[in-house]
Amino acid sequence: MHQIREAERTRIARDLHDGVLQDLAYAVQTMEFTKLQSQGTALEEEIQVEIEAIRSAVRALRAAVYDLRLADEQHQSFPRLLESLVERNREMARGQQIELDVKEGFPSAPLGEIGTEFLRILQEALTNARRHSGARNVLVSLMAEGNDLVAEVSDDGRGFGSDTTPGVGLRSMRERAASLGGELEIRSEPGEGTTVRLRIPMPGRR
Amino acid sequence: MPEQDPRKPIRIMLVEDQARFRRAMASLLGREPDLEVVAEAGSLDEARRHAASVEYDVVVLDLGLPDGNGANLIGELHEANPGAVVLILSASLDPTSLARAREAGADGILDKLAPPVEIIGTIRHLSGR
Repeated sequence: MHQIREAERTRIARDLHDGVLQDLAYAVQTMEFTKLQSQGTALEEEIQVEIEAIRSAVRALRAAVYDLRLADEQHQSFPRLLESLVERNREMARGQQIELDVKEGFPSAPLGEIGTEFLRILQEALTNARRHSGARNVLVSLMAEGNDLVAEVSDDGRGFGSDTTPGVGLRSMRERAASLGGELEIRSEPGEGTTVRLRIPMPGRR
Repeated sequence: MPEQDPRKPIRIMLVEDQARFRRAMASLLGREPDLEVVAEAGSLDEARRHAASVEYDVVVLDLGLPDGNGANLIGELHEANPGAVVLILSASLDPTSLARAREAGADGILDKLAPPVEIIGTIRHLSGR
């Protein structure tokens, strides 16, 4: 009975979210067009800020929907979930190779809610590699190091220097990592690709 | 696959029931000299009618149409214009929905909220340009 209620709730939530997402898609693309029409004016930057605010809202909405689906999936091993995530990203990343390397010793026990947050951070890193790096090759590695779980997303793209302002995406990644009691390290040099390294304490051992 | 003359624009059919989103996409794609929107449809039915008479290289397809799931159309869109590619734009990115589209033969899947440069780049890439 509980499962039926859960499924029904999930379906209702997804329908609600879907309608909102369609509206936001319209808002974003219309604003993208307006932004192009305003190229070279002060308005262009303002609109870009507003577009990013909407995209941020969309990320949160999608995360909420994803959480609902994951209620069951949290029983799956983390490497399995990451495989699905990488596969979905491969779909969207035409002209880019994404490799996944799960090292021996990474636990196969489900990571539950922590795994969900972990995946969100990795999704953000993959989106950045797809949209901003110009990379042809991306490697996602997963390993256990002592009492920590470590994931790395590295690309062979254009990299960025210390003078680049970190985007909203990077800030939210750091915040999520901190909320897991972990840390995020980003190594990048212009022309030398980017490596995002996420380390969190193994759940149950904080 | 028919040889594509690189000097000819990539011909695009938009299939999406939200008219104002279709207009936004048409405006964005219309700015590109090598892209041309040749048809628009707001339902499976309308898309089928166009597919029978319009030549296109790319179909930008929404899955949530009023008269059915866009995935059901993919095979027909390929048959009507052999060599054409179908790009799904999805707002929900619902895995089940996308899996179904993939199985039906979608050539590409993108976030409906992706930056235009990504959508346009994917259209060119899928068209072999």
